[in-house]
Amino acid sequence: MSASPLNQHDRLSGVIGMLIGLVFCIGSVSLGLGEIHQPGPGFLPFLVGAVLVCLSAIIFIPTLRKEKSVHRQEIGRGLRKYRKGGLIVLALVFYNFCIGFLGFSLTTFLFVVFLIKIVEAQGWTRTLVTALCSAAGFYFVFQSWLMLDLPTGPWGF
Amino acid sequence: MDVLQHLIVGFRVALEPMNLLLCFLGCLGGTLVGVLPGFGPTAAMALLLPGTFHLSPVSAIIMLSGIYYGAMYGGSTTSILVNIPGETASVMTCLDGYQMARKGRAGPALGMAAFASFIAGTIGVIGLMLLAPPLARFALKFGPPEYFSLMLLGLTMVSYLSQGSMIKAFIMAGLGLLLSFIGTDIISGVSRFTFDFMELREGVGIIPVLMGVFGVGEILSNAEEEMGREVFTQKIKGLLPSLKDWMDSKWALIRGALLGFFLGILPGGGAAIASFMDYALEKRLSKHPELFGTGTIVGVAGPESANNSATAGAFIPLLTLGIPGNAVTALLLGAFMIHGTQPGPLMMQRTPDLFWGIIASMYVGNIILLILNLPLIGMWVRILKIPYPILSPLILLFCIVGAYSLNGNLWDIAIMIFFGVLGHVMRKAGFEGAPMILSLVIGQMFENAFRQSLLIGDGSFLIFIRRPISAALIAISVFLIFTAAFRRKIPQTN
Amino acid sequence: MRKMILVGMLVGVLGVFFSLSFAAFPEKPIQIINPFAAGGETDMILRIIANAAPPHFGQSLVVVNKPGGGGSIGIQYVDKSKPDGYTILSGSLATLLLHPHMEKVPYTYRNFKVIGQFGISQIGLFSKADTPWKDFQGFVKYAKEHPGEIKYGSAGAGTIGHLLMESISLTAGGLKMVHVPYAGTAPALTSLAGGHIQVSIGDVPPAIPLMEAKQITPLVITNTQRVKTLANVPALPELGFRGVDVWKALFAPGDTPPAVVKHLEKALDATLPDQNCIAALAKIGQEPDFIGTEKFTIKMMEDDKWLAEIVAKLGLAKK
Repeated sequence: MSASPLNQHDRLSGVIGMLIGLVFCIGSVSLGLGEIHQPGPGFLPFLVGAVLVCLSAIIFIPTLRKEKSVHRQEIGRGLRKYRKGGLIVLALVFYNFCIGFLGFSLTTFLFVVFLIKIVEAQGWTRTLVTALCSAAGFYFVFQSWLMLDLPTGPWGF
Repeated sequence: MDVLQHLIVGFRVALEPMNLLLCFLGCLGGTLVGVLPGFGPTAAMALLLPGTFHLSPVSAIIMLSGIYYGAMYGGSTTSILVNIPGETASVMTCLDGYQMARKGRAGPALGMAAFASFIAGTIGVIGLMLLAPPLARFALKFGPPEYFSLMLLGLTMVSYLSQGSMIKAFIMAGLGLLLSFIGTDIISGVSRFTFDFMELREGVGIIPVLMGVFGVGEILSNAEEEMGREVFTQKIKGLLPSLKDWMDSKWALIRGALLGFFLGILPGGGAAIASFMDYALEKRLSKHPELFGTGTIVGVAGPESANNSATAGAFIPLLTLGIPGNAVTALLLGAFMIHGTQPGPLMMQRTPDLFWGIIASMYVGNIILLILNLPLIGMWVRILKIPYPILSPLILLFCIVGAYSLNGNLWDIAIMIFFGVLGHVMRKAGFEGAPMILSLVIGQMFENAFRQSLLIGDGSFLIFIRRPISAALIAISVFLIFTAAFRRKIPQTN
Repeated sequence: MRKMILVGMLVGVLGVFFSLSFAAFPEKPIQIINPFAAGGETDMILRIIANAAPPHFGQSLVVVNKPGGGGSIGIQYVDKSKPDGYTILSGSLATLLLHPHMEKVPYTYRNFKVIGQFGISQIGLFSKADTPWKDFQGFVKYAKEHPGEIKYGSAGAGTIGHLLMESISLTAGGLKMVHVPYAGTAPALTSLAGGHIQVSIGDVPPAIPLMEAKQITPLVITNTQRVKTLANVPALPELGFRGVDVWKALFAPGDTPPAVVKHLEKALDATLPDQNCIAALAKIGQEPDFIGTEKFTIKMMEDDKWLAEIVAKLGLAKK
């Protein structure tokens, strides 16, 4: 009996861990391993990558004995859970993308409106008030006071 | 007593109305800056540096130092309230501090953080005052082999930073190490794993990763909770640490202060490593290690005292030898030079007013910060009462602007988002962020020290064992590994 | 005759037009992009210059930090910005000449127009206080007679200090020294003071407190001339070696109109001798050192040639 319970994601984690380790190992070889008394730039990355592959294998191998059906059921039920989180990530990515041409204030406003109204399903008053206050507030604290150069949009703010 | 006389002179300087005011402003500014994630004390100090041109050297340094320790106090506030570490040194406070906040004990957590910082800061200043020259000489004895062994010790303590499987903790540590290797290798000059991205030449930024894994990751996990479950229990249980809290923490405070102080003295050591090691130490010595990570007060008291006394310790190489141990002290060094003084062994003799004035102002600063922070606890706790649907977008915004403020580069925001998703996904699979962060912080130092040692030792591995300090640290690491493996085996033989 | 008057009028009008547009040049503050984080040595120099600039430039200078990529992010930013003279770059020998030889970057120094040099880094070779050698020549002799024994520290592989040390080694007939790179001049000096390495090459200012504490001694200055802060330490050229001035200069995007560049050059030339500027710079151990566009361009090309050679010799050239 192992000390910690098997996590349902261990199979995937194990595989990904081994892949990452492998990628670093391969990359390290091309960097040059040097020799043990004079390690090159690839030496330690290779070692650590190799250790990662081994440890991930230790996680992965026990899962080969598990039943697969339980796994599939979990996935179907889980997708609805991820809706909110997925929307948040989407909002973040769009924020990073739009801030370059829409400018800080407008992007922030839209971001907050999206998150509060659509993701969290709150009322319009709360949404707009928070969005306006946060866009203005952050602008003042960071741009005017701390003199950070926030990206400006077509209107210059 | 010579020292006492000097100290009295120092206090006379530090308590001059102008200096007192500047100290207060520095501490206040520093606290605010510390609360803002990403925007660190160095940025604030650089902003205010031109403004100090017209001040006397003592006054300028007093104000700038105030920003430094103020930021240490402020950094723990966001760690506890919203799981966003203001800087690497505050990461450990997130682990238990935030859990305490979720259980309605944000007040005691914030209070203990403030008191721990005060006590440790004071102990640190006393140590600075009495032991500066000999400690500085001791710090110089740490060359590459000693740093390697120290980092090795840090890495072996990684498993104490997580609650779950030890293997998974080490996998995260490995991942952190691999991430730390990304960038230009100083020993060979080649770029590693940068895929021709210029932004990666200096490595993956630690702060965006931090804010992603802890801040954004936390928001994403909360988004998956079923509706109706509160993120923060609305029942606030007290605003200050209880008597039981104090009794539980008393040894942690002392140990943290001592450990932090010594680690802070080492150039490159610093508050982050001190807080990591102290957390691991406390967990190892605790009779209830399983409580760590669920919201135990010791998990706040220890790291907080470690990172504040490390701050005081960092002044030692700066003041006695003119060696800056981290970016903040480097900036202070610049400030010293702009004001025409050269910190170093001659500073104590040439300008005793300056030296002792600074030390006295550190006492004063600690007192000011305690007085400043305690009343604010009530205000901070009230922020948690904001309904989470409104609070979480604000937290995200906070993170975004914080990440951007580091370099004025959207790339850092992208890294934060990436690691936010990664951190969240990994947590679901049972992998925790803290071991990865620790390894990311010490990874490059670890590898550099290793290769530098071999260069100095002409390729021989004996260099690590021949030198006493290095040998001692390695012995401790080996001891820890054995006892950890042994300990885990014992429950299984039941 | 009428033709000549017409031409004369045309020239006159054009001349007035040009001088008007030229005189209108700095209408708003000028941004100096520093491709490194706030608080560094160059940053402070720039801020001091910016402080003294307004009367000479006709507008204020604002220092903007755009760190990242070892300087390449900020440099790229200026390369791509409008060539109107309102965005200029603080570049150095390391970032604009050396770096492009070793890493793939989307620019070279030829992408930019030189405005003028404003300062030089002071770099020197330092050694532990109690050593068998008393001066630089003694050190070179010792290194030759004890191959492999000397461990020298630098601010990292591929930094100018490393290259200089290798250049010294080559000139001296091939010294066998072990290069121990550190993550900057300060860690290297700390290691030197602790006796873990015997010599270290790097910036002078961080070394001064340690010199005053008698922990380390300076052997030689690697600039082409002696520096005021260490006036009695010889410079490499005096001892028969090649010195290098690691310069810091202002640049404008390549397509900036020559008249604008000229205006900036003149303004810089006028600012540097300003009393406030000199006094403030002296406090941080720096002296302003102006070289104008033409002379500087020649110097840059020579430095570039030397750097290309030595980078290739050391095998550090980009693949």
